[in-house]
Amino acid sequence: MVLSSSQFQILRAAMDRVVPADTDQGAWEAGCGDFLIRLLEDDLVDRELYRSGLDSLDKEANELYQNSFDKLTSDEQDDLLTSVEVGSVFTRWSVFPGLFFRTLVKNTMEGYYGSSRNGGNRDGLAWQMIGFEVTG
Amino acid sequence: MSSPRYDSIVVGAGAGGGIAACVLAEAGKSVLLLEKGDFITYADEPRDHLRNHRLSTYGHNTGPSLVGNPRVYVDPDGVERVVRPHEGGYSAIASGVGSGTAVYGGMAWRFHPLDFEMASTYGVPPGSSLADWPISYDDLAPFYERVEWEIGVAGGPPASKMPPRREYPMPRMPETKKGRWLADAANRLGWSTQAVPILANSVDRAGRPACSHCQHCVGFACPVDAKNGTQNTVVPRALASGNCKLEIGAAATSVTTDSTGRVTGVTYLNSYGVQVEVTSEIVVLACGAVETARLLLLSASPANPRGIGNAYDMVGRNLQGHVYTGATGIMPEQAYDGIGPGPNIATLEFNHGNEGIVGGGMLCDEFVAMPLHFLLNDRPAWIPSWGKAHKDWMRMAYRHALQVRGPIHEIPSSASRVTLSSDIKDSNGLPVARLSGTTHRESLKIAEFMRRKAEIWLKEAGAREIWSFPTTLGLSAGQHQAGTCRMGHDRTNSVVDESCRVHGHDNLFIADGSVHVTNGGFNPVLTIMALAFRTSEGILNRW
Repeated sequence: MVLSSSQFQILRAAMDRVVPADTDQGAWEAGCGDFLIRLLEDDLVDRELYRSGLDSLDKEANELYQNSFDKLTSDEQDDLLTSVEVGSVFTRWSVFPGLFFRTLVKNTMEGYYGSSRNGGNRDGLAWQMIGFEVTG
Repeated sequence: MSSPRYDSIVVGAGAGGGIAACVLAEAGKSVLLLEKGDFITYADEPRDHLRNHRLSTYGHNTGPSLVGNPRVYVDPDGVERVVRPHEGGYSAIASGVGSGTAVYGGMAWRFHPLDFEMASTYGVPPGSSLADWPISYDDLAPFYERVEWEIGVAGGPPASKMPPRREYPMPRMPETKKGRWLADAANRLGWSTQAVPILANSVDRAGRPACSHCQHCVGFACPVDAKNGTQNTVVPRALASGNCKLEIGAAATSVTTDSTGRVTGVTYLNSYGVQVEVTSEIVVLACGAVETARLLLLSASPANPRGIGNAYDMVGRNLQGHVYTGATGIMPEQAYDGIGPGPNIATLEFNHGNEGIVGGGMLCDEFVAMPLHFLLNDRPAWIPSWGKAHKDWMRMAYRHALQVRGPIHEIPSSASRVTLSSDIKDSNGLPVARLSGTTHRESLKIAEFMRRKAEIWLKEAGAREIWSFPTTLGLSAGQHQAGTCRMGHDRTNSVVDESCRVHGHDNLFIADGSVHVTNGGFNPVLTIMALAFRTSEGILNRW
């Protein structure tokens, strides 16, 4: 596996804050996880950035909230991700927090709004949501 | 391995090479048309929004292969990077039969008459290599008309800023809601407009159907073969003549010369990787501005020690493309109609005659946007890049956004150039192209001027929020790459003469954007094609 099961759980929670579920599906339900796993398996993104970044994100959650990242409330997750985005972290990261976060956001968007054939945007749900209609 | 002798060899089956092969073959000359890539077809087209010529994050839908074809890119800070074909800085043109014309949006602009006379109209900005073309608009006009009719353009009458011309063979693409808003706004502003001319069928023509108005035009192969490129017009004509042999998967490695330095033919690696040497009376290079320059430099020999046509160190210089600018606005009602290709109305009001500005550019509405392309390129700074607010914005903005964009007539710099890498080689063991330098900074002033015009146009059209992004100085080449084998009378500061023949080589011609002295304030493909007709007819006239 390219990610451990705990990394997988953190990834799921983080992606679902990047594109949260509301009246339309969130990132995970749309297949963004599958999309990213394919990128990781095909060596199209940096595995170490994800492995280390997800571990660090969880460590950061434990340091600040004494809980695993995926167990935090949505507001706590958003606050934590906002800090990571600007590089304001309290634990030692071996990758740049901002780089990890920007990569996570970029890949989540690519999965969510890209072609279904790549794993995300399941059944074209994101295109239906925004009104990108493919007629021919 | 040695092959039969041909009357002519054309290297590259794209916009220029396809036309050169057709003109020569139909005149009875035997032609070997070499194409490094493969056929580009809709059947093989997965329409991947991350792997196409509009958005190539992880690859392309055409050649060249991501493996074995690197280039070296030197960024404006002087940092060198090895880049693959889909990566920033590479400046890829589709490799394959038709090249970019198989996947382009097909805007069919003639250059403005003053685009050929930039230096004498405006003077030469210090440090730039701005120059007049050695030919005029009138020299090219009959060949523009041939492209419009023989390749096939759909459009309306010319804007008042352009000379009169014969009507196009097909009516304009249907007017869209966005086009109507912008046309009305331009009228109120007193700006001249015209329907955007497109190299695609608006009605059934030449045995192929009308455009189906799909949402995947620019960057993708056409699902109904309504897009008119060289792959479905002049290349089939060349083959039908019985005088042209098309060889795909054939990568030229050098232009060969005899002991006096005279061009004798071409060596290439065929699709099996076998080196083949072919000879001909005439050689026409049409590999695009980067690879044509590279091939000339790779062809150094004792008689041409710095490369062919490069006695004065001019091959590869003046690399240019198009700086784009524009603006995005949110309309009170939905602007999205999904009617492809998308560009509907343009203003040519600001290509010339702008106080204090050298030249200018064209503005028009945009192609139907892939959602990801919109998200990556059009999000204003005040919208977060993630979270609920971003998702809400996408739901509102995608269908309410109206975009106006266009290329500016770049001010070239001789320091922006193609050279050979000293250490990086391709899969055939040949030094790759190294791209360095930036466009001249005067270009930024023009882009800023045009950006404000785009905002004014959107405001008049009724957009509420309007935003845009400043242009930064960088290397400009890309799909509109041009300039590396500049046309001119003086062999000390140009590479080809006014007939696009390489100085000092009476049987070597160039038929791609390399020869453009400047690249116009418009998409350049119609000019590349018109020059290819002119150059090929010129070859025949002297043969």
